[in-house]
Amino acid sequence: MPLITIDRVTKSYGSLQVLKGVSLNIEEGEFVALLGPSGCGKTTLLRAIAGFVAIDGGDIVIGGRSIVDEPPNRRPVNMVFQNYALFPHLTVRENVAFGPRRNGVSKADTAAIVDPALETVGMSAYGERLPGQLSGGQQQRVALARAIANKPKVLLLDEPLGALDLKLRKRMQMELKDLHQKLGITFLFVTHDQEEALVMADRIVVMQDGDIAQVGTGEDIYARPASRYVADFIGEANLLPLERAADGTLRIAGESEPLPYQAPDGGAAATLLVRPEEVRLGVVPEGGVGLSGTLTDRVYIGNATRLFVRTASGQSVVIQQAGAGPEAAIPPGTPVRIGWAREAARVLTG
Amino acid sequence: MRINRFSAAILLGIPLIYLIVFFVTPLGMVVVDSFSNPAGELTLANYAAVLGEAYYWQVLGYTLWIALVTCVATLLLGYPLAYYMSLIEHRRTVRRVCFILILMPLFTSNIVRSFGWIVLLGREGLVNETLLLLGIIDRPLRLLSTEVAIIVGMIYVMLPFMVLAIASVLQNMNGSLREASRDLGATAFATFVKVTLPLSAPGIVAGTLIVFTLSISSYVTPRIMSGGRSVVSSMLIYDQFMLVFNPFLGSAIAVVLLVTSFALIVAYTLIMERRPGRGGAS
Repeated sequence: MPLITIDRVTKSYGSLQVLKGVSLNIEEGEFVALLGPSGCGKTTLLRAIAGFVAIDGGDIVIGGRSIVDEPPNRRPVNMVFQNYALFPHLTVRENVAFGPRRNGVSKADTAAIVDPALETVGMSAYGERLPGQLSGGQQQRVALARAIANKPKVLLLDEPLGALDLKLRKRMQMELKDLHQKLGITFLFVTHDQEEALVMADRIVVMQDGDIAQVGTGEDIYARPASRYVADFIGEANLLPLERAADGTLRIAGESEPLPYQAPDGGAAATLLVRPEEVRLGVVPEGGVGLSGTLTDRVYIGNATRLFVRTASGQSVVIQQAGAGPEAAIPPGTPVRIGWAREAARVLTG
Repeated sequence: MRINRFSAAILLGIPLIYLIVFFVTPLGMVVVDSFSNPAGELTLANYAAVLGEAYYWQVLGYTLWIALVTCVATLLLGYPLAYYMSLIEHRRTVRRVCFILILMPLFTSNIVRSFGWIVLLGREGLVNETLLLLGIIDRPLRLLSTEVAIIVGMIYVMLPFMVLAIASVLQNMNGSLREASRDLGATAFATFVKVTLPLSAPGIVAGTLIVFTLSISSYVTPRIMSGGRSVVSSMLIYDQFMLVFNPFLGSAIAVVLLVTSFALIVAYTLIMERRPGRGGAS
């Protein structure tokens, strides 16, 4: 049985429906990321689990018990807030002790919880400081220690790394992953950063307009996106609109050559997804797809080079190649031939 | 932002000149007067008279007592109001209406407002007339000229200051702190005691200081509500200057009141600073 069952949860603010019947199961010990742009409902869902948002319909069950009628202080979850929400009038130790003390742990026994919690996040030396005397990264660690001091069944994290600079964020991503391993607690993590979700999460839940667009491992979602929306959100993507010819074959809009792909069922609009690293310059693999175009621009980004091509029918295609490559010599404006292997592209609805 | 010396001199100079001309100078004159006699000689006689007379001590004590009661009462009444306006009511319009209602007493002149109390609480005032008409009492009650009347009047005047001071702090308080407290297992009440209340301490200190100082020097409200008897220091000072024509004794009373309230305020601020809103988690 899953640890958390989210069952057809709905929530509206006035006429705006922010959760449209979301259902999701989370197993014990999983690290799940809720991923999506702002306004997709991911934070609302997290806050509904924490108890700060009253849901209109559906149910949330944790460990076999429905928690929707419980106040936040009675739920078996703890949250790391986006801005950490450390109590500014309490020292680091008092912040971490806050939870255990409210839950009836005696003063003497609290130390036995606070010390290891601070040690886990490497903040033992800062116990007597006030939050205002700590850096952003240190506050982040204290917020983590405070949230795990209650030994919750689920740790909720609301974009906890958003305020940190890039380098620190990368390091904290790895530390959070380690912490998850060490504690064995279920982590539910909200982020709008697809890379962060890919790095940390066992499973990614991509959200779109109050609904779940796709659930899967990072690899599932990157390699086999369920829709144009998901493909566009995760990683770089060339998304080429498709047309159906009279004979039922698919073509890239404006191109005449039929594609070796099946049209989706029904009359839904279709898009072809090709990742930039799958596109070849000057070569069309056997049985693959080839297009003619013009090289419009070239950008060197250190570990790779990105080439921008405009096809004869006016589509732009990005090619990413490792290193600088011999293409560095091709001047923009040169007519080129591009192509990709048949299995490197996918037809998506939308 | 760095500002140059010239701008700084102007920015600081204007208020400084204002304070010297309109505050330091008259205050200095009062202090000098308090050590003078009508012949213009230096003397301690005024202080001897003030400090040696039990009556003056009583009035001073009563002044401080009224200010203290007003302070505590406006805090107890004002905190829930400020809490409601800043943390519970989320509709903008209702909030604004609340603020306007709270500020309303300050829109009208102190004197008009206080005469309103006479119309309401006088022997033939609205309250007495209504109670008589309903047969609840057979003789008009004495509502004015009582200690309760003074305090009720003072609370009415001072409440806006307390509410505004506390509301401004509560409004700027990061809402996720209260959520974090609930999340960590605190009940709504524990959250108030451990988080909201200690973090609103600056507002409480500001509010009580404003209300206390305004109450100590308040004149119109106690005069009207007391029915004209001189019960607080400000009235005594007025009487000495305007009725008895003894500005020297009046100045001495003023200085004693000033020094006493100043000492109390310094002590209060020091005590509150020593424990800067530390509620303590354990």
